[in-house]
Amino acid sequence: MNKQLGKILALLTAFAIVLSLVPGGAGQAGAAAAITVPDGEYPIHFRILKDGSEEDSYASAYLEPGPGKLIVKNGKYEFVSKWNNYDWFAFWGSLKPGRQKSADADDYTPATLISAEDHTVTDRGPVPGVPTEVKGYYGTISLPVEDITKKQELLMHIVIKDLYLGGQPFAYDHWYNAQLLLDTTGIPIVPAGSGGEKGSANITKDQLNEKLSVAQQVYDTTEEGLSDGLYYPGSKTSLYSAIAAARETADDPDAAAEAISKAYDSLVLALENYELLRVKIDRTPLQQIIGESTEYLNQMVIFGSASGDTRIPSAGEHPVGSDTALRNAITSAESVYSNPGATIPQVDKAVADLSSALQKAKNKKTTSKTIHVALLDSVVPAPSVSKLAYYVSDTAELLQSDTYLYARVTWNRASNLDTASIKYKRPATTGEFAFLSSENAVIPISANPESDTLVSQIDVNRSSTLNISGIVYVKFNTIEPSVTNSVYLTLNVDLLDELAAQANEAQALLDGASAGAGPGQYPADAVASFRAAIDSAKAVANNLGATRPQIDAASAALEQAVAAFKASAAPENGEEEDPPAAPVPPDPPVTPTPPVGSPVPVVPAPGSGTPPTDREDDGSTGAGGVDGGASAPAKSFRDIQHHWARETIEKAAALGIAQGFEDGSFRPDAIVTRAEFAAFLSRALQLEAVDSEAAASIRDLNQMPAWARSHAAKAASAGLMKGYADGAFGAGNPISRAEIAVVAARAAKLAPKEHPVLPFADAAKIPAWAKPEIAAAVEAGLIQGKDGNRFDPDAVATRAEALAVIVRLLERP
Amino acid sequence: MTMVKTMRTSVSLMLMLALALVLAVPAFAASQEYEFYYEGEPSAHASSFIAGPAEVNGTTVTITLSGDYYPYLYADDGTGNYVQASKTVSGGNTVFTFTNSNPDQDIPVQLYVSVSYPGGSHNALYSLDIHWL
Repeated sequence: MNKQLGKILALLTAFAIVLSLVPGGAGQAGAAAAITVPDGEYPIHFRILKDGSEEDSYASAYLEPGPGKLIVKNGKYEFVSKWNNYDWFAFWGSLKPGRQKSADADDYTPATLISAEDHTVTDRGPVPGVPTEVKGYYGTISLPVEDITKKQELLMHIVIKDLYLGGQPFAYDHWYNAQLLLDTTGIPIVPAGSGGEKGSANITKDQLNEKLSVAQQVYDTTEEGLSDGLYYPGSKTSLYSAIAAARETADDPDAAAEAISKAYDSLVLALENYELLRVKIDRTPLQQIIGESTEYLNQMVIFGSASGDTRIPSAGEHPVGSDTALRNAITSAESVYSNPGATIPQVDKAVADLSSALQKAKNKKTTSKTIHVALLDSVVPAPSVSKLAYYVSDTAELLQSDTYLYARVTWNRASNLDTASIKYKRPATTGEFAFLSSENAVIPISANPESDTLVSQIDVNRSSTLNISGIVYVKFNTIEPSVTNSVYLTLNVDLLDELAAQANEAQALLDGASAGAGPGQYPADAVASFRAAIDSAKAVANNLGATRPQIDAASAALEQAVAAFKASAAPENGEEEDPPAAPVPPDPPVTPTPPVGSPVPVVPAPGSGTPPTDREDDGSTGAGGVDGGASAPAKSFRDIQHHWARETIEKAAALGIAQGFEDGSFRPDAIVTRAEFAAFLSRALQLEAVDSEAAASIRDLNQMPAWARSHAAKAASAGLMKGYADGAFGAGNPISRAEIAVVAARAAKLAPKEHPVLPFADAAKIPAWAKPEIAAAVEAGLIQGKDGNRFDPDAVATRAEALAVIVRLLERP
Repeated sequence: MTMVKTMRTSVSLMLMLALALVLAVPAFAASQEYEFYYEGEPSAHASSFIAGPAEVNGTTVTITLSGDYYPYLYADDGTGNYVQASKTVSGGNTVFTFTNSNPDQDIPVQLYVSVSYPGGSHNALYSLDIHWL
């Protein structure tokens, strides 16, 4: 009777458990319990997913067959997998806990290479079928995984080498986000923090068998899965193990009473754990984001709502179509929300997708501010305020919707303007002082005959990047006199003012500091480095033709310099009397920047075809870094790890050509000055002999920093860099790509091409005087074109570009 | 004297005509930079295969993509109909030419990408938008 009653109770219990599996309704609180896995190594199936999708990533093609391995140690997870063509994986990493998904390698923990194997393949190299040994073809790697129940964010950098398709080299260099999805089926997962002794005593075998019957019933009638009410993959493995262990005891005729009680307790615990692993999806976040998005959608205003013209945005408005995108995302999220069979990944994805769509919509909400602008006649080689500046108000309204920029410019003396003639070119998306090809008409906004003004709109940027110079090419006709004027409108005036203020603040810090080794004092070399950084920032701030990337780089470099300077102070010691402070030596003379609008050195207009008489460079003042003359040893630099020129820079540093800055940076994208380039060249070519006559001919030799003098003299003496027509060398001035190419050709002793043919789209912009030597330099591989098949002759060169040319120069046979 | 004057007039007219012809060409053919958009968002990956600015000559648009991995491209002709672009391969780049009745506006295209490499292949049709900058 008791046995029969026990069976009935057992079946009722099983029935109750099964009933409790009915999926909960929307908005159900709670989720599957946090889980853990006993320490050990487990084979595990997995997928690498294409970013933001459920599709396999193309990277999966490089996976070696078979499962991966999950290593669990002290609650930490490591995932191990084996890849082929692993030499193409320049970077592999798992998102660090607490970081946001990004394309920045610093946010990811790099994979650990456990082992690498070489392999001979026949499908690489220019000729198919020729065996090629590939070093590190196979790679077995380990990646940390934060939570095995969630997709692990990954970042990879694929650089394909030695691959030819159709006889052509296949250039491939891309960063990818992807996700690692682990299949925990078969992994003995248990709820985190579960366990504890039950302490049951005097359990009979009948009671153990009854509990076994319940457990088996639960096991047989429930399913694993990721939808509400199902059991998390891997949970049945743990329950099965517990049932098998208990059955062994139950089937053992000699089992002791203590063992029976223990087996019973283990089974009860396994059933409790199993129940904790039942999926309960928390839809509250999805509900909340749907509500928030719907509210935002309902108040979205679209371009043209105020103006009546969708081309003319107003503050607070969104681009046409952005409301549709958000509405579609809300509809998709609502579909998942109302689907009782939705899985955990589907709900998570719906939350992520809608959050992303909402953020994008918010980013596109137009903001407006008044900025200062300036009209320039020239930018390169030296900026000069236009003599027509009075035609444009010095303030403009700048509207921004995500990366799109619109400038509302007020024109004065409108009655003397042929308004239909006002055209402009947008800045290029390279960040350099260059422009997109198309010429666009301004959009008229308003006119005021009384004040003789009109307002027109310039669509400054329609690209997905804000990496633009901030300088617009503008062309307009005046009526009297009837002249077509070409000018440049810079939107960067306020940014330059901010940089100047930052430099002044740094100067005040420097002025208030005392040099010395005493408490609170600063080492002399730190003072010198800081002063150089301030001078460099001031030089950019004083350059009205500076581009936004140049201003940003100068600001960042100065910020780092301030931090490095502060950190260099000797610790305060309150118990000792401060030694007498030595005054910080005064600033050395800085080559003055020509006042805007003042006469500048004789230079040819870009593209004018007029050869310079005796110069390679021109432009504004700049100050060198430690590269100028400090004797810091060659080393690795903290800001080149992911730079395209990393190998070149390291090679140059190893050869003693370039040395970087005191703060451990190299600043590869900073503009290279004439002095720096002369220093690179002089060190690389080991220029020694100084023609005293040539040195004496450098008018500003004594005005340039001490470290630069010998290099400038050597470069001039060797006939490589001759200087300006007025005898000045212009140590702090930038140097253009065209000029670097000419110097490189001279240094390589290349014969100028008599009939130069330059295959670049912008070949017409290359000055005629430079073409013969540039053609020779290009043919010799000393300098290459840029994206879009451009040579970009007027662009100022960066330190990295300059070194690339010099290293190629050295590597010539 | 009259003859000389007539000749001068003729030469001037010819020069003007020649100048007008020279100026006329750029008025219809223009380079235009663009980005690819994928699923309504800028795609830096797809855009990285753009070899240079498009050429827009009236309603004829020519784009050049780096590599020879594109068996075909269909472009919206301006009415919602997708028409196959003509294709040539030059210097390792693929040049597609198609017509669109309103090339001032962004142009939807469908680009088939086919790459075979050790360990696998990449064959997919992508719906992209040519977004003029």
